Amino acid sequence: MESMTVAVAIHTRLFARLREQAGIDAETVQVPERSTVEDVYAALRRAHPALESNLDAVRPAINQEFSDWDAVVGQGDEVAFIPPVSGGANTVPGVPANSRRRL
Amino acid sequence: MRGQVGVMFEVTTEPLDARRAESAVTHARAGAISTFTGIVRDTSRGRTVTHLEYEAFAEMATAQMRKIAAEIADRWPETRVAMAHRTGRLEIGEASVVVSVSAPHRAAAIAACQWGIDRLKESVPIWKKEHAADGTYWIEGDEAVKASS
Repeated sequence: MESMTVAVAIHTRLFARLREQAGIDAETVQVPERSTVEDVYAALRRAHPALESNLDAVRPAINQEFSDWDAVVGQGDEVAFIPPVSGGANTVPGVPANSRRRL
Repeated sequence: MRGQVGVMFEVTTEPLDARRAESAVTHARAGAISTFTGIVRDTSRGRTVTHLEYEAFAEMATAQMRKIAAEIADRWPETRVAMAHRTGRLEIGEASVVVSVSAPHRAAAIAACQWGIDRLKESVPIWKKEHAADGTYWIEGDEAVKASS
């Protein structure tokens, strides 16, 4: 038998339009070790298909710090998915545009 | 001093008081205070607005406010910064956000205050839901996206 994949628990949070689309504001998801933020969002979308599919319209944050979509998550991390804020064009210094992709 | 740069960062459902923010940044070497107050207006994108709702990721919002204050301190020496944003339901004419900056002289206070509110609007996770005559919208940058409720 292959070695078992270790799962980690990630505490997700959704706000504003994303919260309304999913119908929840928080959910703990299990993902394989070494999963990325994008994997976590994909897991949430499988459970809540109405969630925004365009990653350009969402910014992730790990433990309250904006992150890239390919950042790796660890056991117990809080991952928030953040729609654009009212005064911003969804650009934040330190998060290069080419780190954003579509699912 | 760096440790005194940020003196007040709040996300609150209570009415905002710009004077309280100004009091927080006042000190003996500050010759100028510049304060920006954002107010709920009755029209937006040609539509009549009845009221607004603000939603925040409060813990991250105050953390981002602290970062902006540190950025201000790097650009404008000897400034002190206070920021407060209201959440929940706001009526026309109420204050939604206050940014107050003190500095030794007016040019720095005014420039730092403008920079601070611009940064707040683009990087602090607080969302505006507009209740307009023709429906309810999330305001996302330049876009208004129809809300589900």
